[in-house]
Amino acid sequence: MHQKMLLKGSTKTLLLAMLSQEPMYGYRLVKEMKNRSSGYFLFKEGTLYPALHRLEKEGLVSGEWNQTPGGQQRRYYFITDRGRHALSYMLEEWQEFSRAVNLVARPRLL
Amino acid sequence: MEAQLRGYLYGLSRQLHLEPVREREVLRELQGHVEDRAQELIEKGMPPKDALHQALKHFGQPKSIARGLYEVHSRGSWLDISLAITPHLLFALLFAFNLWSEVLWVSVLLVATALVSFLGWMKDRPNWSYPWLGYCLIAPGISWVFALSALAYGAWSLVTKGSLPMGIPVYIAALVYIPVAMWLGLWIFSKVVRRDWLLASLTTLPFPFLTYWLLYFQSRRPLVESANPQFTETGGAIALVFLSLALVTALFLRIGQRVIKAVLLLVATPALAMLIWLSYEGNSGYMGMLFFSMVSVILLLSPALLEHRLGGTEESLLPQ
Repeated sequence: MHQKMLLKGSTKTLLLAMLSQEPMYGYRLVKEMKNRSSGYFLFKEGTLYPALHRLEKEGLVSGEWNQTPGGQQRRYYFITDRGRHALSYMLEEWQEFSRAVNLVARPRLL
Repeated sequence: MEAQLRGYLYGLSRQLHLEPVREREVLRELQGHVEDRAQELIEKGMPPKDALHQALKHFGQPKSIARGLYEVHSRGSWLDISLAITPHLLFALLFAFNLWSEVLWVSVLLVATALVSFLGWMKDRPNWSYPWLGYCLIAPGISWVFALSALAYGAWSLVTKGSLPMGIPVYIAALVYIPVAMWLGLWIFSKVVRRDWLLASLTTLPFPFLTYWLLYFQSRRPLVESANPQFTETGGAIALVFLSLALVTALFLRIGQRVIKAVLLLVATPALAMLIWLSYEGNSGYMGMLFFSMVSVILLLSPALLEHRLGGTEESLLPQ
């Protein structure tokens, strides 16, 4: 439950971070996310597509039909300039947050 | 495409209620996702049929994915909302400045609603175009009722007096107009209902109030009389109702959840019906007020029953 809540709060950041490295389509995003997080992040389609479409509506990513190396047409998502700005802000926020959590959680040295 | 996948996408599209081009694209995108997963399972040695079954099972219930996508796409931008409330505001202005009896202004407004509705219909039927469509259907609807009454009165005169009150061409025109207009109206309405019964309800939002005013004023003095004092005196109140409809429409388009949209319409319509009744009939006739409110709610909910009968989405939206 706690992991689910954490994932919900970080979906936007994770998707933008993935797309800032290279444009991807939905299925590949799920696979890459799973591989890079060693199986920690398992995105359900019911979460992924509404999140991607919301990012597109907010102008943080743009979708475009392109051909995969295998020859299929898939909808690739590209991060926009606005998306990059939003990502850097979110990552900064995340660094600060995790630093503060670590400071609080770290055992106090006597 | 496999029947199993087609069935799944059909079930999904019945619950998406998106603009046709958007819906086609979403279904195509999700189809690609299922096919990729199935392909991966096939490559791992699973039989194709089982692989597809497994991929669909992993995809989850169409309802949850449809709900998420609907919430993203059904929320209109401020531009969409401005466009959607414009017809309500124009009708409010028509009554606020007592221009309803000026043929020129009424004609301009009706032509504008018809034009915008036609453009919206041809350009992928965006959500903002449905209030325009509602007003566009008013004039043909009223003329349909008049044609039917003229025909009925003509038939009655022919039987009782042996003559027709108007020329034969009028009755021929009415005989042609009645079925054609009815067919066209039902065709348009069924298309709207198939897309989304909530949008059909939004389209019919002004209908109960307009019908009430038409019957109220017609029963007291012919509506076409430009100096109808009752209509002129209550122009401001009528304008306020149209402003309320604009507010309801704006909220409807801004809200993402279907349940809240439905509740909004279900609360606002009878509330407005009661207010109109009280402002015209005073404190008398509570049964009438109750009847009017119930009829307006039934009219509002009838698209939901129709959608159930018509079967929701159009097959043509599914990817090939």
